[in-house]
Amino acid sequence: MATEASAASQGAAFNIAQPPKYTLASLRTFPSLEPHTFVPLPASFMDAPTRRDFLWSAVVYEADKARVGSGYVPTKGDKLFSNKKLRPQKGSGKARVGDANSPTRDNGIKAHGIKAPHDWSTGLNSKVYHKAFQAAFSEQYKNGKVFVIGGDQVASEYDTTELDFKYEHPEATRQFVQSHNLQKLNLLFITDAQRDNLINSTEYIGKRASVLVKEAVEVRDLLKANRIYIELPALQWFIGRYSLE
Amino acid sequence: MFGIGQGLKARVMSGVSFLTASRQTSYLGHLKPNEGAVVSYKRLGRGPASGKGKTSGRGQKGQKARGKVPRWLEGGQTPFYKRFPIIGFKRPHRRVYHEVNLARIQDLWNTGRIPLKEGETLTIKTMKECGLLTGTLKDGVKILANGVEDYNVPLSIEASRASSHAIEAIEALGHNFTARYFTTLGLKAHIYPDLFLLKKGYVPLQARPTHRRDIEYYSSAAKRGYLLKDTSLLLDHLKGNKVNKKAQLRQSALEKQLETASSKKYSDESRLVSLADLLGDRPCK
Repeated sequence: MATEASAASQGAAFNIAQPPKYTLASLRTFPSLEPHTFVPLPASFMDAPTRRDFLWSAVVYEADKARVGSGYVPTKGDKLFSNKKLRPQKGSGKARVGDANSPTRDNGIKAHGIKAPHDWSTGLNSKVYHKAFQAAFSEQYKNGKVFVIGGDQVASEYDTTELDFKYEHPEATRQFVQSHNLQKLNLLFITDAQRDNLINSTEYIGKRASVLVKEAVEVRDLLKANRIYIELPALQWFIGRYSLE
Repeated sequence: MFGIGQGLKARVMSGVSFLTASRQTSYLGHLKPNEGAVVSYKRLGRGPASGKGKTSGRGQKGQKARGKVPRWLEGGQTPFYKRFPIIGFKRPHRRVYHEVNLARIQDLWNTGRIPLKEGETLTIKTMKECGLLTGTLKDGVKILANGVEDYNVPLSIEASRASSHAIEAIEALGHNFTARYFTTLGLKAHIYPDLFLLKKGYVPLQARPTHRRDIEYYSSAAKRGYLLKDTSLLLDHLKGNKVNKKAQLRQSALEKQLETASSKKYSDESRLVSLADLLGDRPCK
């Protein structure tokens, strides 16, 4: 409050223009994507500078976290073979050997190896992660790839202000993709709650559509998508959740 | 009018975006950290091509090539750490405080991160909860006056101590500062009472200062000590003790007897004393 005031007074004194605090996003209905009204969204979230390093940190953090860590290399202790001495100590004319559980033998046993389960997850400062979300949303929004679904007006009886189809038939997705010319694009639908019709219908285009409830969304999901369709309450949830400066 | 097509076209035409030179390029392949931000570790003894193969960066021959040498060793010369005479004195029980500047409090207040209303008191517990204090808990909190020029947080503050400038700034706004004494246990109980409730079933009482230095500090008006603000905590008892000691003078057994004894005097006129006279009004057993 005080810093804002002092910054504003400074701006007046030195005649410095203050950057806008909000950006106006179109609120659309689904699936027509017809814009009906505007909603102000904080520029710190939707118009943040693109920080490639933050995005990299967040993506690496998420990828590390997703690793299962099931790598397992058999070592001597695993006792793959019996304890029987392979041949007599003396008289064979060959080198001395013990049992077959030796890492020196060509049998797949290693002297040292990774053991499952292994936790590969790394840490990331929460401020950096928040910044990455801001950068990811901003980058997609500035490229016109974020579509905010919401409002209270509906264009036709087929439209909703929720991010959901009326029917769960694949035809709904097919028509949506065709009418908006989204062939070969990765679509990301971010919903406020589970939308069964959307989930079932988008199975039709398989991997190219992912339907995620807001809590399940990661930075890399945002970056992988060519188009992001997000419900307004979900977007507001993100703004509240990831707004650390 | 507000469709995507125009926005996209404008982007592509102006060639602004850093990652989307071609329309369908994935972001993930173009991300990288800042230069120098990520350093891979040295892998030693993995062959000549690695550059750290043969001697693994240890050079040729000698103790350093084979084992380890104490880092302070100067080849037999008196090492730096024992070269100079010991001077001064280090107080082993010195208290180390979190130093919280007014600028930081102002910053958190401006961003709405202090969950208090105007006129309420910012305690160490609240500071810890709202992120003013981070890291390992130290012995207390000292408020410092950095950022005093812009300070206008409408809160009273209670901490271990504060600089005189900080106290001035807080009181200039019509609020007050209280310096409160905390032991290590007391501070933990103040910040995490649940921890004690769950484990012990009670929260330990706050200990009063025992050292003369602390008692003087926390009963000083200039430091806004809490003992002075509520004298019933300690100061009353200190004075009361002295008074009681004077009142309860020790009495010998003789003096106690004399107190209850009769004041009647006997003259030497008659050698015979009647028993009734001797006992006075008391009944004869």
